Amino acid sequence: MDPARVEAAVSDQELALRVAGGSDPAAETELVQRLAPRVRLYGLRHLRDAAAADDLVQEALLLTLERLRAGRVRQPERLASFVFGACRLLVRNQRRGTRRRDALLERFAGGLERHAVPDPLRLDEPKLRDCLARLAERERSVLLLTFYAEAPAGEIASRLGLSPDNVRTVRHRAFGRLRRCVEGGAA
Amino acid sequence: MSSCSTPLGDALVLGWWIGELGAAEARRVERHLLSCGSCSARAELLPAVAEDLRGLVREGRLPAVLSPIVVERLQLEGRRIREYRVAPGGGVRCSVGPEDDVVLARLSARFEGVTRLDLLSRVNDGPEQRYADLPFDPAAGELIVAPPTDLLRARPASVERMRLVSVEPQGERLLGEYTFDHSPWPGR
Repeated sequence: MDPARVEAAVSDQELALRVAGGSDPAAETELVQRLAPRVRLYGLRHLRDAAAADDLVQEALLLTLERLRAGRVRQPERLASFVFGACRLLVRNQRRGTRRRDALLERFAGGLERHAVPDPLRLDEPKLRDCLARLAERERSVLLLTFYAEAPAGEIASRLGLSPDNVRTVRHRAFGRLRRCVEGGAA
Repeated sequence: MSSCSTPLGDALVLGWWIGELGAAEARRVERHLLSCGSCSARAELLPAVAEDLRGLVREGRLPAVLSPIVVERLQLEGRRIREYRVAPGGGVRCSVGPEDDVVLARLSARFEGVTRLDLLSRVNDGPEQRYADLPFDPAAGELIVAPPTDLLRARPASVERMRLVSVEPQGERLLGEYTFDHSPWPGR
């Protein structure tokens, strides 16, 4: 049986308990590979910067591993709560310019390199362009205002002479069509 | 990847990404995304689309009707923008410079009473293209159109005629006709 498939069936909580229970490099690697994309997503949402989000991944996961190994996560089975708290704290610190990554890296030479952190999702750009071009003009404009101008529904509504609810409906429909198109289906 | 028994809907996650949720709901979404591989993998499309869409807009590679706030953002980011403002019935000689990131056609028009706006475009004697139900700001007095810069740059000398029409129950009402006399950039 493929060992990777065995790990996929193990829950995050079981992996955390294995890391907390002693040296288990395979459990650590699996945990890092699962958590890295989730922490990156949190970082991109709050920091809006890919490099800063990658830093957050390093910091949050090094801190998580360190605390698990040291038995300092009181309830490893509630791992998500610990990671959530760590992310909030680290994002706040990043905004204040306080960095603890260097100190963590000193204790964990090489950072997370040996755990092969997964790359972020990359889209086929020509396909995305084609999918965007297939949307109705109004849908494309709303997505552009949402993702490029980062305008909330209320502001888009006032710019386009629509109601905020109408903007949310158009945005939701447009994003759904875009998802189906970039993921291989029809727009 | 295991599936989720309580998946987050796209609308909720999109609202979280944009920052429209209240604090308590945002925290609930974040806790779920940090504990759920299935939902977080699905949500990864948001930053991927945001990043690539930003690139397409900044490089003028997405044909679109632009809002003034998008143009302002492009300016703030230092993108090189070439603009042609044309009044109804007017025309302009135009081109695309090698350094231009974005080219804008700013079509002046009065939108009073308009509920549906269409743009019709014809290059030389080619077929007329219709862009239906365009988004517009009724108070703006202009429609900002960004054709793909790479396609314009590759275009030989040509004349493009655009017409803005208000689509009404009794037919179409012409709001303005605009002529773009395009030449390739000298030395290209």
